[in-house]
Amino acid sequence: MVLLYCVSLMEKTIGVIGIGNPLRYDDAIGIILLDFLKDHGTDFHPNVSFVDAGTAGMNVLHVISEFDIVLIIDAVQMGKAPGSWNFFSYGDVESQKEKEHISTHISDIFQVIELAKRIQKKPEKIYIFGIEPADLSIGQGLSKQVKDNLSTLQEMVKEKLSWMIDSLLS
Amino acid sequence: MSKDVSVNVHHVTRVEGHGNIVVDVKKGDIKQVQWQVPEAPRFFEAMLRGRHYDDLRPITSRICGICSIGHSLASLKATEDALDVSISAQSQILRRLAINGENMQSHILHIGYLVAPDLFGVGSVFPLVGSKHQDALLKIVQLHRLSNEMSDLICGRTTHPIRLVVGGFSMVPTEKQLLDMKQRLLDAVEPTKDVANAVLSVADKLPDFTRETEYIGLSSDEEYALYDGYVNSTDTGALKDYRNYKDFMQEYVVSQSTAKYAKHARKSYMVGALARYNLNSEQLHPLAKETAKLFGLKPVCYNPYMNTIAQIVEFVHNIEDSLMQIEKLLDHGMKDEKPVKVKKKTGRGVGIVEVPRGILVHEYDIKDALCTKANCIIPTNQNHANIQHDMEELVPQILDKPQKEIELTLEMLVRAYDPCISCSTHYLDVTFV
Repeated sequence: MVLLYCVSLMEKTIGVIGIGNPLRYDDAIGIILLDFLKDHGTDFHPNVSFVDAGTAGMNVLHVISEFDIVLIIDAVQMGKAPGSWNFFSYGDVESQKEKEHISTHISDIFQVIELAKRIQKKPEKIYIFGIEPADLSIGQGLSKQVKDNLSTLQEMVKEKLSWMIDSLLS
Repeated sequence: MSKDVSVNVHHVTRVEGHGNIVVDVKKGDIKQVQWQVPEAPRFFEAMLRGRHYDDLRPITSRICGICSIGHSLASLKATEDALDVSISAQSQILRRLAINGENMQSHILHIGYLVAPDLFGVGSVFPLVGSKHQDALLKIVQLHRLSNEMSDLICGRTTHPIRLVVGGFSMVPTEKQLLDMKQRLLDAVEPTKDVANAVLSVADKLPDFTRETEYIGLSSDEEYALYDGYVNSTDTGALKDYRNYKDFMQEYVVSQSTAKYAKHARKSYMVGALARYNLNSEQLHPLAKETAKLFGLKPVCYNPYMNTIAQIVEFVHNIEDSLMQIEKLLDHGMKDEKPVKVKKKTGRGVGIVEVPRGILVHEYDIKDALCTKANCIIPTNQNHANIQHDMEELVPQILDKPQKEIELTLEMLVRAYDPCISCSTHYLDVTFV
């Protein structure tokens, strides 16, 4: 029984999912940090996968439900200083957008998560690494505030993923 | 009728982006009926200027998370047209599979998650979980997953493709992968029939409204046109030279919308699945034809609410067509081809494809390998004027209904068009509890 439990823990998977639109200034940050992790994560656990979900919206449903544990990296308006970050679990927040009125690719990712949990019963745990944006209008490149903080964001997102691997996969 | 009606639906739900419906009726006198698109205009074309032709496809694929394959293909066709690149027969077939995958993805999503709640009498997809309609919902989810996986197989990703490149493909699926996909498509036929029957059982909820209008889409002598063809109209017939597409898509500005409107032979026209059906229904594959018959869909159908039914018909067609395309690939044997080399570096090109919501055009001027000018005509913008004119004709017909029913009928009209107002905006607002 103990052995089975260990095997089941070992087989758990983490999906790291970058979300955002590189054509909308700071909305690119989820994809930029995802690419950083892919390029600098050779020591990560083999059960960790990286997914560039872009603005896929409802199409993310099937992506997130493939994993036991999910880390979403995304621009999040939290009322904090632009360029700052927060790491939190799905249960810690409520979305300001109404969960019951689902749209698709601009849909609140929380609606997609909610549907995945109700239909697919996965993922079990969801964490979000949110970055406060300064500018979400149309254009390429990060705002000065987010760019100035980029190395901290890279360091922190890597640290949080390492924590998830250490505490949830081993 | 001396009724007062005041409808002000701010941000219609279950559509892509933000659009408002405003109706003002005083003592039975209609003062205002408006479909408003208040979102900021887009400047994607400006981002393409000065970029190398190889960058145009990846940039434009980010315009929209739902139509990223379609934007990629329009972009590649425009670039290849400008630089005289002819892709191989294998690449042509693979691109048809890609467009089938995207059409399936988008249509099943719209039918299942956005329109089905209206037909089943609930506010969103969530109440369907655990309801008597759960079986249909699970089949929709299953078909959505298959559509995603087909896009992934051909394009290297579910969304924002990476294998589609100028001159062909950077990587192609193996015969084994294609055989596996073939079986999965065959297995999807019965669940698709079940979903069609579930929609049929509530299809009487679709309003019986007709207004004659013009339908514009691609047509082809060889096939039900999605990837390739000539621009066609139910009013005027075919456009001779695709490079003169602006003759068919005359864009203009109105005060209530930041998005451009479009017209051709009449004051507005419609694009999308219903337009394609009305133009090309004879070329549908057999099971798709049967599905259309099941719903009593016949060309020319002037009921915009039937666009959702045309999407079901197209979903069936896409499965049948994908099976046929895979068979062709397997018959010829998959070749590990490299993309065709680009020799010419200067030219003007136009790329036109059908995406789920209608005809999409990209036009580029390329000089010394850099884009100097770009123009993108997006389907939803072409439909805005038609939505407005539908509303103007529909409102007087439903004024005797309760206010809530008027609102729902108008929202359902907008949803029927499956508009994609804000192809790219995405962010979260959160409050910590």
